This record gives sequence, C-alpha cells and structure tokens, in this order.
Amino acid sequence: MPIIDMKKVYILGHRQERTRVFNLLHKMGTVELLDVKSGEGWKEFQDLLEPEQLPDNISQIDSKRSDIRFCLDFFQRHFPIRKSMIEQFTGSRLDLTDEQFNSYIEALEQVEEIYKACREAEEDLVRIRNEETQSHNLIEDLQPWVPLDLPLEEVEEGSWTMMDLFIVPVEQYSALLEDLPETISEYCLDEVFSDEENVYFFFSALAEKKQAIDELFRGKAVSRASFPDVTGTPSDIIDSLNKKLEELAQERSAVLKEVEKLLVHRPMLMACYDYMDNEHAKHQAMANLAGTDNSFLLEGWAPVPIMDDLETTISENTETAVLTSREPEPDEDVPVLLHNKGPAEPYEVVTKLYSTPKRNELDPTPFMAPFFFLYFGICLSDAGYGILLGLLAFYLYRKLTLGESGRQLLKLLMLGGISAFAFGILLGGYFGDLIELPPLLFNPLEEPMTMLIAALAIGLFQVYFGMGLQAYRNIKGGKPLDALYDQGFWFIFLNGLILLVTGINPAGQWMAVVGGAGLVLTQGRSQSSVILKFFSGLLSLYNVTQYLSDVLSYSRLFALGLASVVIGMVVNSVGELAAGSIIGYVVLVIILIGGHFFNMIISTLSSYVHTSRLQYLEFFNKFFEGGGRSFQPLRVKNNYVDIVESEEN
Amino acid sequence: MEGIEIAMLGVALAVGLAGSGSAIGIGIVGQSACGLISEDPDKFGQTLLLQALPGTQGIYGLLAGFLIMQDIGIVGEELVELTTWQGYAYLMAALPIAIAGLSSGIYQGRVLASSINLIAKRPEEMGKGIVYAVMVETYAVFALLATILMLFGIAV
Amino acid sequence: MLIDDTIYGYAVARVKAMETQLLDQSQFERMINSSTTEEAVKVLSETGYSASVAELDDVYNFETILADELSYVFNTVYKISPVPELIGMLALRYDIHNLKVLFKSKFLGVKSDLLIPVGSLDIAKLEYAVGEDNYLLLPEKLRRAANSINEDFMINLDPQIIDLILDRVLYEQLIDAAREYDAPFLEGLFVRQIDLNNLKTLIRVKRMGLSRDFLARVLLPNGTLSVDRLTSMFEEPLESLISMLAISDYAELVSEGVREGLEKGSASTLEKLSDDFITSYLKEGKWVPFGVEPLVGYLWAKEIEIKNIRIVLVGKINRLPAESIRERIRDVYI
Repeated sequence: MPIIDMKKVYILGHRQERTRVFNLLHKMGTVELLDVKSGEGWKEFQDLLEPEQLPDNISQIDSKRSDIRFCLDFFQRHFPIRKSMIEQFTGSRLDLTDEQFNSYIEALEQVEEIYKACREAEEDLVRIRNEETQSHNLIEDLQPWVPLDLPLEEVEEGSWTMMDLFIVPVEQYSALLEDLPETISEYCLDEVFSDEENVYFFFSALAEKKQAIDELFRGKAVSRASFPDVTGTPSDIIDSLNKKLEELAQERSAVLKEVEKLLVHRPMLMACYDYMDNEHAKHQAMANLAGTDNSFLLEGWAPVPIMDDLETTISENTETAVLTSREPEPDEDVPVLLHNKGPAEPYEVVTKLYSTPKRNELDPTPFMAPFFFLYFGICLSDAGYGILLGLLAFYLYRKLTLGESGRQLLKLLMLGGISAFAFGILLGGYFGDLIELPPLLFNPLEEPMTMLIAALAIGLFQVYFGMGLQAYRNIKGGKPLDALYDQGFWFIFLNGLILLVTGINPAGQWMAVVGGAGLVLTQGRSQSSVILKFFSGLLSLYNVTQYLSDVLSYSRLFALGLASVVIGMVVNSVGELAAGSIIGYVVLVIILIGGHFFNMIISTLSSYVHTSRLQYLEFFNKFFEGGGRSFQPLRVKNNYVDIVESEEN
Repeated sequence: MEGIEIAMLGVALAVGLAGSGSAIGIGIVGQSACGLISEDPDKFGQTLLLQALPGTQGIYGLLAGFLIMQDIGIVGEELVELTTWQGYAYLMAALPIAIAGLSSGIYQGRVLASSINLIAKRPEEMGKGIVYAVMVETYAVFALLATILMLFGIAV
Repeated sequence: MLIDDTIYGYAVARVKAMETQLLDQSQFERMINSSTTEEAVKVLSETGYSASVAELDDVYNFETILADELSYVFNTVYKISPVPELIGMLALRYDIHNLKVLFKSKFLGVKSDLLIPVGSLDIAKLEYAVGEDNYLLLPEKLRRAANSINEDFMINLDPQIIDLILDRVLYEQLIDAAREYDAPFLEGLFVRQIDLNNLKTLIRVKRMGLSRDFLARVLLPNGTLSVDRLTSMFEEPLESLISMLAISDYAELVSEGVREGLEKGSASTLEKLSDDFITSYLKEGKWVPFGVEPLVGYLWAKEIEIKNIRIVLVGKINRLPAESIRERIRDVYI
C-alpha cells in the first residue's frame, strides 16, 4: 500500500518525564504533533487541563542561537563559503560523525567568548569604515581648494579684515562679480577653482563691510566653506588624510587577520547552531502539550508500521509514559506519507512536485512510474547518452549527501539512463549516428509515421488506463453506475469513433452511436430539469476534443526523440567538417565531446520536463485530485551539518 | 528563383527565426536572473537552468534546418536538383517551427522571468516554475512535429 | 506588447530577492515579546539591519539606522529602475516632509521629526533655503509654495498652514507626474492617498470645531471622493460618515477607524488602517513580472517595516504592554 496508514497516538506520562519523551520523539522523527488544546475531543476536560506555557529557557535558547547566528553571518560576510554549482542545488553541509558532533556540542560554553570577539571585531571594522568615510568626504570637500596655497587656520576673521572661502553656483557667479563693486569698493576676490556646478573662491574685505557683503552673498546663494578642525594647506591635509587611510586599511587587515584565527571555530559554531535550532523547535513543540501539575498529555499522528517500535521505545526508556492509539475518524485531517517500494519509489518525486495525494486516494506513483520510465527513454532514445546519464547519476548518487527528493531524482535519472539505453538500441541511436548500428526495431528517421502512430498509441493506452483507474475508484467508492456513465460510455464512444475514422471495422459506427447516446443520456444527470439534462448531456460530447488533444499531445514523444538523435547527428556532421589534419582531429574530438555532452544535458532536461507534463496534464487529470497534507513529523532538522556514519563502520 | 534557393530561404527562416525567439527569450530571463544574482549569488545554478530552457526553440529550428540541408544535399554529398515547387514545399515545411519558435521562445522567456521571481522567494518551488514554462514550449514541439512530418512527406 | 516592458526584468527580480530580507510577522512578534529594548534591537541584528545595528552605540539612537536604511533602499531602487523618474516621483514626498520639518522648526522652534535624506533635494540646500529665507535654489513650484507659507504665516500665525500648503503642492505634482509618465498604477496610489488624506482632514477639522469653509479650502482635489461630497458630509455627525461611505472602497476602514476613534479618542487606529489600505492596494501589483508595481510595493513595504520597527522600539522604550504595541503594528507586505 503506497499510502501509509496513520494512527492517532496519545502519550500520557509524569510531568518530569516530558523532556525525555520529547527527546525520544525528536530523535525518532516519526510522530507529527498536534496542538492538544485545539483538539475537539478535549473540550470537556478544558478545566482540568492546564495549557502548557512556553518553557522559560526558550528565550535563553533563542538568544544563544542568535549569538551563534551572528558569528556565522559575520564569518560569512568576511570569509564567505562559496557554494559550488552542484551545491547550489543540493545545499552545502558539513559532514560530521556523531562523535565529532557531540564533542562540538560540549564546547558550547566557548560560544560566548567567540561571540564577544566577533562583536569587538565588528565594532572595530565599523569604526574603521566610519573614519574612512569621514576622511574620504573631507578629501572630497578639500579637493577644489588644492590650488590655494594657504594654511587653512590662517583664513580667519581679523578685527580689521574679514576673509573666508566661499562657494557660489556657476550661474550666479557673473552676477556676483557685477554687483560686488557696487556694494563695496575695496575687496579681494581670488577664484581658486571652478567646476560645472560651482565656483570656489577666496574673498577678503574690510570687516566693517561684513553686513553688506553677507546681504549680497545671500542674494546670490553663496555659501561658506568651513574646515574647522584641520590645519595646514589643503594639499598637505589631503596628503595626511591619505596617509591615515592607508593606516586604516592596515588596521582593517590586522582585525581581519584576528578574525581569520577565529575561523577554526566555524564547524563548532555550525554544529552548535543546529543543536540550538533543534532544541528551539523541540521546546516550541512542547507548547502543544496539555498537562496538569503532575502529568502531561501529547497527541499526534504516527505511521502504523512503526507503532510497535514507538511503543517499545517509549516503554523501555521511560518509567511512567504510556502510549495509546486509535484509528483515525473518517473526517479527520490525516497527514499523508507516501511509501513506494522497489523501482517505483524514485517516481514519488514526480508525484510530489504535482501534489500530495489525499489520504483516501490512490497514490498515482506506481501507476505512473512505468509510463515515466518508458517516455523518458523514448524522448532521449540514444544508447550513448543513456549510458552516460546513468553513470553520471550513479556517480553523483554515491558522492553527494542528499535529502530524500534529491536521492529520488538521481535514482530516477539512473533508471532513465537505462531506459534511454534500451530505446537507443531499439531505434538505433548511438551518440546520434556516431556508431552506425542497425536498429533492432526500426529507424524513426526512415519510418516517421510508424513512430508517430506508436507514440499516439501509447498515449491512447495511458489515457484509457487513467480512465480505468477512475472507474476502479468509482466502483470501490460504491458508485458503479458512475463508472459506467463517466468512463464506460466514453470508452465505448471513443473506441467507436476510432474504428469509424480509421475504417478498420464498420462496427465502429454502432459503438459510437451507443456510446454517444449513453453519454447524452447520462452526462446531464446532475441538472434539475429534463431539458437541461438533455442539453448538458449533448454538450458533453464536445469533450471529445479534450480526449483528442490529450492523445495528440503524446506526439511530443516522437518529436523529442527525433530531436535528441538529430542534434547528435548535427554534432557529428559539424565535427566531420573539421576532420582531416591532426589539428582537425583534435578539433573533432573537442566538438564531439562538448557537443554530445551539451545535447545530453539539454535533451535530458526536456525529456524530464515533457515526460512529467504528460503525467500531470494527460494522465493525472483522469483520476487524481491531490491536495493532501504531507506528513511532517517532529524531527531533527539541520541547516549546517549532516550527521554521517563514522568511517569505521 | 530556382528551387534550391527557395529551400534555403526555408533553412534560413527556420534557423533564424526560431533562433531569434530563443535569443530574445534567453535575454529576458537573463536580465531577471542578473537581478536575482546581484542579491543572492548562491542561486546561480538554479537560474542558469531556467535560463537555458528557452534555448530549445533555437535547437528545434537548427534541427529543422539541418534536416532540410541534408535533404537538399548542402550537408554531405552533392546538391540535389530541385524544381521551384519542391523548393516552395521545403520553405512551407520550415515555416511552422520558424513562426512558433519565435513566439514561443519569447513568451517562454517571459514566463521564466516570473519563475525567477518565484525562486527568489521560494527556491524549493523551482520545479513548478519549470513546468509552467514547458507549457509554452509544447507549441514549439508541435510546430517541430508539423515541420518534420511535412519534410518527410516531400519526395525528392 | 508594443512597448518593451521586459526592461523591468532585472529590477523586479532584484527587488523580489530583496523582499526576502524584509522582516516577517514572526520577527516582529519576537521583538514585541522581548523583555528589553536591547533585546528587541538584538532581533534586528539577525536581519538585514545587522551591519547598522553594530554601529549603534546607544539603542535610543535607533532612528539613525532607520533613516540610513530608508535612504539606502531608496537609492538602490532608484538606481536599478529602468525608468528612474517614476521612483524619483516618490522621492518628492521626502522633500515635502523635510520642508515641513524645517518650516515647523523655524516657526515653532520645535524639531518635530528627523530630516530624511531621501528626497531629490539636498538637505543642506533645504536647510539653507528655509533658514535664510532664500528659495532661489528650489524648483519653481516649491519656491512658490514656500513663499506663500511665509506670507500666510505672517498673517494667520497658524502652523497648520504648513502641512496644508505643502500637501497640496505634493499631490498636485504627483498626480501631474503620474499622468505625464502614463503610470496608472502610481496614479491609483496617489488618488488613494489623497482620499485617505482628505478623510483624515475631514475628521480632524470636525473634531477641532473648525468651519466648513476652512474644510473646503484644505481638502485636496483629484481624489475619488470629490471635495463637494466630502464638504457635504461636514454637517453630519461623525457616526453617519460610516453609513455615507458604506458603498465606497473605504467603508471598512472608516467604520472601524471612526468607531475606535470615537471610543478611544485617538486617531492611531485610523492611521494604521490607512496604511494597511495602501498596503493591500500595492499587493495587487506584487506579482507583476514586468513593471514598476513591485518596485513601488517594495519601497512601501520598507517604509511600513521602518514604521513598525519604530512603533515597537518606542513602545519598548516607554514600556508599553505587548498587546498595545501589537495592535498598532501595520500589516506586512509579504
């Protein structure tokens, strides 16, 4: 049975043992917890049950976790771990053995020290950056004044004279020059620098005229440039600022060097983060408990096959906890766990991409798996690519530590490689036409119509198969008449039409008439009035286009299969053009390797997605609804590390 | 025009238009991908996969072009003598993949740009983003099918 | 597809990636539940704010972080937008905000708010202009507005003039710009903001017991609720506003906001609901693959996030109970 039966479990125990029970469940990872408080059945005991508060230490865990997170983020910012191409799909984790992991966790107290060091380093870096921006800004402000060969501290108001540095927008400058002589007679204006926007100038005059000058300047949007905290000529100051920038850069690399020394703790921090994160999840889950002063109660779902195991684990490892279970009620929201055995198992990944089945539905995986296997092979249909793909997937499967769906995907590709190898032999594709062996079956390039008809025939078969599954569901669900009306009549009608159109058998027209009449009479049965029943029945015949387009959609098998082989041939012909000289043969080899590898990847991708599409749109929609909730047990979830078997075993 | 020239126009259209569709589609996805990568470089692998998808139209176009070239002897042995009508037959056969390749490449690119937005937020849903894009590609596959069937029907 | 809208591909994808860094409900929840201000700030250090939190010497200075973040985000989106003018339009609000702050501090001697370095006009320029009464460097419309504020204030000595005149200039320019660039989504945003602004004005004017003429003068044009319709509501009691707007888009907002306002005598619920209203409008454009909508939405989301952080931290500093902080928190965009 591909969908695993679930049971509702209850665990009742002494309050002191609740952490122990939680640790056990977390480790086993086989129970999905429910919120007892919101459970319907407990309404009448509401007064008895104390809703569990979040444990006090959760905020400690939280703060510790965020400290570690800070350190890891800090490291990542300055010494990033880059993910490789494959890791971008699979995620990069640190492989640790159980012993390593535990020894890291024992070092948890060190975190505080590391955290402090990181904090200090971060503060230093920020200070350095701020000083750098200040210096940069000052340099930028001073830059226009470089031609001024005057120490800035000497630019100051005397009792007799005023002098200062000013900036005026370019468009106001000429007006300023015109108006100045009208305001005062004696002054000194020295243009220091000008750019597109502003003119920078030195100005001095008698102090007694200050008010008039201020008035004039304000009218021309003149602003004062002041550098209060610096001494020396602008170019000297810039020099010393540049020197300071260099020092700051040195200081930064010194700080970073210190940080680099801390990097040895990174694996430990990663392990501790995962540990804390799991502790956090566990504590959070504890809020789902209900309890009294001396007891606790926990409610959840567990798969039937592990029930015995669960029961013995609980009873052996605790003194007070007891486990009871019951069958789910018909209307309960039971989570769904798929479990297919043998070759069908990897195809779960295809089903899950579409939707998790509902609890009382057929799991489509085993029915879809053979078709997927077949279609993938037809689309790739090259023995060379098949071997290559199979080996590549096998290699990755051995080498990478992956989650469940990653493993399933690679297994699926291995099987796909086998299938492609088989079809390559049957249809005569070996790296395009690199090796010219006669096909066992026929060559689709020479007999395209045979291939096309074969593709459509397989499609028709799968569509009928889907209808058959729905009929089976209907009969099993106690609605045998629905099976006759919705699938049986269509089956007769469609077959009749096929016989009629192809002219194979004249009995076809009678089948079509019988099937069609049946459909007209039954398809409107949900309508209220007789007229509506008749018209919606009649209208339902239009669905024949749906079936037609479903079957025609399978012609892609033919097109894609041809495409992967012909592109292989293109690669070979292009390579051939180069052959001749020694260099030519080198080029030939490069073209062959690069081209065939490229074609294999692209063809595999389109084989995978188009094959999936055929399952989803042409097959699943005949009998499968989906929309179930997948089983999510409380279990260990790691972000940074993977616990692997130690190498000795 | 001689038949051979008309047939070569067919090759040019199949390869050129379907290739343009792919180029535009890939370009659209590429822009979106760059936007995502500038914030989250670790998704490079995923975005590269998505970006490659609208490449198939160009490949189908090349494939159709290659089949015609093989038929009329441009690749391989000697040129085949074609009547004007045979030339037109090849041109017509090239049109389905040329037209559908162009438009499906562009629109597949647009769907995939949205898929990039999708994986920016939910990288685990990449599969669904691909499935949507493949819906668009279906019509390029059918066009290729029509082209191939038409080609096989031409007797030289 | 006559106009090539795919030029937005880069910017939209980048903004989508940036959206993942926005604080979510659970992070706000953690901040609200933290026992001290420091602890709340610590939650921020796990987010996109971590670098600026590290610079913070005193949690009470958190406003600088927020201002920095806003200007950083704004400049980024401005730079990546293929039509920067559309984003620049939104920056006008900050110019106006800064002018308001400066005028108020000039006339009333109070610094009501921080200056936000986001607008298109340099803050130093604005400070200079308002401080020295010299508006030469301002664009023409703002210059005229500034002059009329000065004149009006001399006569009436009423600081409300500042808000009214500047808001009017702001929304006139926004609506004009949105029409000029043919940006219906932005126009829709501005129209809604005008409506909300007018509704708030109506309620405030009534509460302060000012005249109907005054109301007619201060309501902004271009909203979906016409000035006439709004002034005609002036004579009615506030409660009947609820029934009068029952078939408008604002029905829910007004009924909840006004009721709460009448009960508690504060406008904070109405403010929250107005923000949520705009958020839900912008969410409609969230999944547009090629267009300015997600960019605008993201900027707004960031603004709301900053507002929320401010609400939480101010609440923590003043030791408000978690519940009363929670009810002021705006809905998040994600």
